[in-house]
Amino acid sequence: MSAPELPTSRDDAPAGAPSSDGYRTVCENHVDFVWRFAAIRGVDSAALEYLVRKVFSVVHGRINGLEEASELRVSIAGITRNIVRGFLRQIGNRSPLEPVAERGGGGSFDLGPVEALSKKSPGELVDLILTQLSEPEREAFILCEVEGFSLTETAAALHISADTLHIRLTEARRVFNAVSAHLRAELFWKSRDADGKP
Amino acid sequence: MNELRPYGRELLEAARRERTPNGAERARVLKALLAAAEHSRLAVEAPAPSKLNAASKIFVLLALAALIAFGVYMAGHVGVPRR
Repeated sequence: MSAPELPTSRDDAPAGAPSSDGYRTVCENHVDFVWRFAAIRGVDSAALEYLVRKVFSVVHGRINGLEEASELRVSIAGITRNIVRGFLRQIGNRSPLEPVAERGGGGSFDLGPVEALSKKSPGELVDLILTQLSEPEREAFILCEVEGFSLTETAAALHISADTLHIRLTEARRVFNAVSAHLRAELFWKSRDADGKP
Repeated sequence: MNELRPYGRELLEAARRERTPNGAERARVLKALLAAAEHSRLAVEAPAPSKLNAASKIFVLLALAALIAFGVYMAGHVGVPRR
C-alpha cells in the first residue's frame, strides 16, 4: 500500500490552509479517535497507520483552521467513517449494509466455542459482539457509546436524521446487551466448570 | 432510549483502552503526518516551472505542422511501385 498523498499542487491546496501548528494540534487531538474508530470497525492492525494517514490527508485539504472544535470533530468523524467504509469494502468484507440475518431477539447467538471465548481479550470480544450489528448500526454505536459523541454530533457525522439515529442506536444497544449477557453467562459457566463446582 | 448494561459498559471501556494507539504508535503516526504536511507545504511553495514564451509556442506549432505534413506525404508515397 502506497502512502496517501497530501495535495501538492496549487489547485488542490485549500484556500485557507491551516498553519503547521494548527495542523499539528488537529492531528494530536484527533489521531487517537481516528485510529480507534478504524480498529473497532474491524480494520486490520497492519493497515491502521495507512488509514490514519489517508484520513488526515483529506482532513488537511478540508480544514482552514477556523472551525469550532466540535464542528471539526464531527467533520473528522464523517471523513473517517467514509474512508473506513471504502477501505473495508475494497478488501472485500461482507457487505455490512445488510443487517445480520441470523441475529435473534434475545435468544441464543453463535459465538463459537466457549474455550476460545475465554482466551479472547476485551477488544476481541467486542469485535465478536459487533459482528451481530449491521454496518450503519455499528457506526452509530461506536460514535455514541465508545467515543461519547452526542446524538446531534453523531447524526451530523453520519449524515442521518435524528429519527434514523434513534432507531439504529436503540437496535444496536438491544443487540449489544443481549449478546454481551449471553457472553457473560457462557464465561461464567466455563469458569464454574473450571473450578470444579457442580 | 435503552441503555447499556454495566457488564457491556465495562467490556466496551476495556476494548476502548485496548484499541487506543500506544505511545510509540502514536508518536510514529504523528511524525509521519507532520512530515507529509511539510512535504505538501514545500511542494506548494516551490517556484512554478517556467512557461514558453509566444515565439517558442509558434515555433513548436510550426514544427508539429511540418511533422504532420511530412507524415501525410510519406503515407501517400511510401510503398507505391515505380513505373
